[in-house]
Amino acid sequence: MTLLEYLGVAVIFATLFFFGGAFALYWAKKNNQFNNLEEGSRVIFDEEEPEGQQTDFFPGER
Amino acid sequence: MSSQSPTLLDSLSPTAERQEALRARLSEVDRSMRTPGTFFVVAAVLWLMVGTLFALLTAIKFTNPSFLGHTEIFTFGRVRSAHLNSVIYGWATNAGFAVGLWIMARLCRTRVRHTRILMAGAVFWNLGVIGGIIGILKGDMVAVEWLEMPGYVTPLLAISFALIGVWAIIAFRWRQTDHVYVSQWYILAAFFWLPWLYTTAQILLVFEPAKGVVQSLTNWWFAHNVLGLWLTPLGLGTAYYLIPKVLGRPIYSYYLSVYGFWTLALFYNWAGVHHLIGGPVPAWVISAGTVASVMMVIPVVVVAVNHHMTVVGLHRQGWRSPTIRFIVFGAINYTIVSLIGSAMALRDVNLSTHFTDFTVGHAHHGLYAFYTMIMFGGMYYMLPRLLNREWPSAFLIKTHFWMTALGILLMVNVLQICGWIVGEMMNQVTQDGTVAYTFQQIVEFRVPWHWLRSVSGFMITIGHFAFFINVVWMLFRPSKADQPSQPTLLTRPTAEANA
Amino acid sequence: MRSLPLLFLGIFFTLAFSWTGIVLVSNVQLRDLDPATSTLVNDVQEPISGVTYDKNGAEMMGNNMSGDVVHPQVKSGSALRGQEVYEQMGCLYCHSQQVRRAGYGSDIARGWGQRQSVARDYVLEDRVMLGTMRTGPDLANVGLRYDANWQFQHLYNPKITSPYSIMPPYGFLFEKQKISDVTGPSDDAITLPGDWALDEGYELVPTQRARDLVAYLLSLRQDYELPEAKFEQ
Ligand code: HEC
Repeated sequence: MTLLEYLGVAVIFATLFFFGGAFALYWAKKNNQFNNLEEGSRVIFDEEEPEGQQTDFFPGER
Repeated sequence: MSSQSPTLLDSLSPTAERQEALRARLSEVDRSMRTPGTFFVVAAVLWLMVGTLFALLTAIKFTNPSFLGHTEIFTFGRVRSAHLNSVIYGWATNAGFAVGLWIMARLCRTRVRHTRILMAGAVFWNLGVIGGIIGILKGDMVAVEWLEMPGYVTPLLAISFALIGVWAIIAFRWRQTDHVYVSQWYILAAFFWLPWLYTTAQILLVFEPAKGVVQSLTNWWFAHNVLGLWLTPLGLGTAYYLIPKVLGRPIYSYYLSVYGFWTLALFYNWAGVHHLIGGPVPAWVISAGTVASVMMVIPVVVVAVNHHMTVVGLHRQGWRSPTIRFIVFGAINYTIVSLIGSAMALRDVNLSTHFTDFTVGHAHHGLYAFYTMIMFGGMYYMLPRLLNREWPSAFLIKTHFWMTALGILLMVNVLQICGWIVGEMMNQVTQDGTVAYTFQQIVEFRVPWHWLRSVSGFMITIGHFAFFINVVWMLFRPSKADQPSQPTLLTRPTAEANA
Repeated sequence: MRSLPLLFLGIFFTLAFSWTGIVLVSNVQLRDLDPATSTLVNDVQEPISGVTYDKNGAEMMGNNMSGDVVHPQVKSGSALRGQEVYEQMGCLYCHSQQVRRAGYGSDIARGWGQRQSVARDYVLEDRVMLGTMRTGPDLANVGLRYDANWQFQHLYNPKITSPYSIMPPYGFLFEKQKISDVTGPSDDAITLPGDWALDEGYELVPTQRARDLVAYLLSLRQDYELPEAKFEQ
């Protein structure tokens, strides 16, 4: 293969990757994957270990 | 379907619809993880002590080569490999199983059922590692870095990993939450990536060795990814869960965490071949590895910003939590070690660092200052909740923290400064084309640095003993009447009411 | 993201990407690499460098010059057993076996080789041990530097030949024995200089493993040219 042929293949792959990525983003947007994104960060809290409260201290030093 | 005693099929089969009762409270999840979680922690801590012992022997041998020099099983090459394998597959992996599975179960809000299967996997994994270490010492070592354990234990390891790893997937598949938190991604991915890496490497290196330097390429693809795609995701997943959890403040930007995950997944797995820069391998692979290593700056900075912004303003509170102390130390070092790593992949920098203690320092920086410290933090949070007991001694926790933190900082600095100077000495060529320093001068230069390294190792050992004593004490302390029924860290003014 | 299959696909493809690149493609690329003579020739026996095309325009990598010796060569049985000893003792963790090109490091200036090591040098090796640490010198060409006696002394205790050495001693690969009254000193006995000499009436002989290991060390030599790697001036 000559340099030009290599370049050709590289360009094809680069294009595929680019559009693959673009499509993934489009799909994600369309399916509301980005809605309420920040909400997800709250799922780790519950009534036993609620948000806004520190849950770990040195023994006997709280 | 009774939730009291589910059959194996029940816990493996999908529920028709999500029942509220299936969604476990965090304390219920903790209780279900009690036996396997504790087992993994104890196994990890024992391996940590074994690994430390091997490390000390190795360090002594460096300054005193004839120490135990007449016993074949304790020759340098074997003790060193026994150290590496016991800390990676013994300590780090058991710790990852403990903390990773526990976080996964908590985030999925599923009780872990049929823990006997999980326990079987756990026991066999550890038997496999014991067999592997014995194999290394008695001379069945495979001379491939990070894969030294002889071929006869690897099927056992693979099967037990499957038995253990499948619980992460089961928990995930039957999760009782709508949202998948970023830690779950990291942990799920880690449990999927390691078996793939391991089988490929075993086949191409141990059972049907590939031709020529394909072995070396596969070797470093594997070895770097054990750190990058197994331990790093577990460590980051833990940090992403526990930093916000302990502080009671959600992660700064959830968007960034998702972005960081995919960039890490994409770039990290190419990075390993930078261990072969300058070597007899195709140049394009090296270039690709260098590019990927530099691209790693993106996920690293993303994680750094995210963690920093979550903690910012809460430093004082955080300092009062053992978990946060260890985890923040680990997270800061993740940023530093990764940026150094990206720099080390540049050809010009690599010229000095390659083949020297710099790389050894870097490995300890990543595996200890980042991963191990985060796992310590995870255990400080997890164990009281599993056992429903408080840590016995705050003094021991502080000793543990200061000794390991200062010890590892000293070690990394000593190894990297020494390594850098050695690299410069090695490469310096005078005008007339002869080398500026003979090999003898370089060997002699390293000796005092090795003594310093031993000092740092000794400090870390003290820290490990403090941790070990605390864990054993916690496990075996008789439950006396004057002990609070709940760990103090769990009792909150508001908690009594709804407890 | 809520969908497990999608998350899983992402996780799968990221690793598949590097697996294909690093493991698979390099395997395909290096699969056909075989020992070669120092120069490759085209179909009419003219020396060529790099890729050429035959008269049909198809790519050809070149043929070996007929009558010349191909390198690297298969190791002897003893050297192959010695390689196993090298593996089991963990020499890999202190010694590399790769010479970097002149201009990138000082390998050639140190006398560790006459040319850069290339992939073809390793195609016959069961276990490729390029190494990542140089606590000791590179060993890719160590067979050219020392004789067997030096190697035995050095293995028995590196401080004999290199007093400053931090290399571990491998005394357990040797046996001290009483010199036989009947046959006299063994032919294999190793001479030990000065203070290292054993008590009167005793001699030091290498075990089979030590002999194999030294055979292996002596076989480590990249003293031939390959089409892609000529000696540096
Ligand atoms: C702890 C690290 C270490 C280990 C393990 C080690 N070596 Fe060495 N080796 C050195 C050092 C340092 C030197 C340089 C000083 C000297 O000549 O002893 C050296 C030098 C050598 C040399 C001389 C090279 C030269 O060009 O002068 C040979 C040959 C050698 N080692 C072979 C071996 C073999 C074979 C093994 C395994 C059985 C081994 N080494 C294991 C550190 C090590």
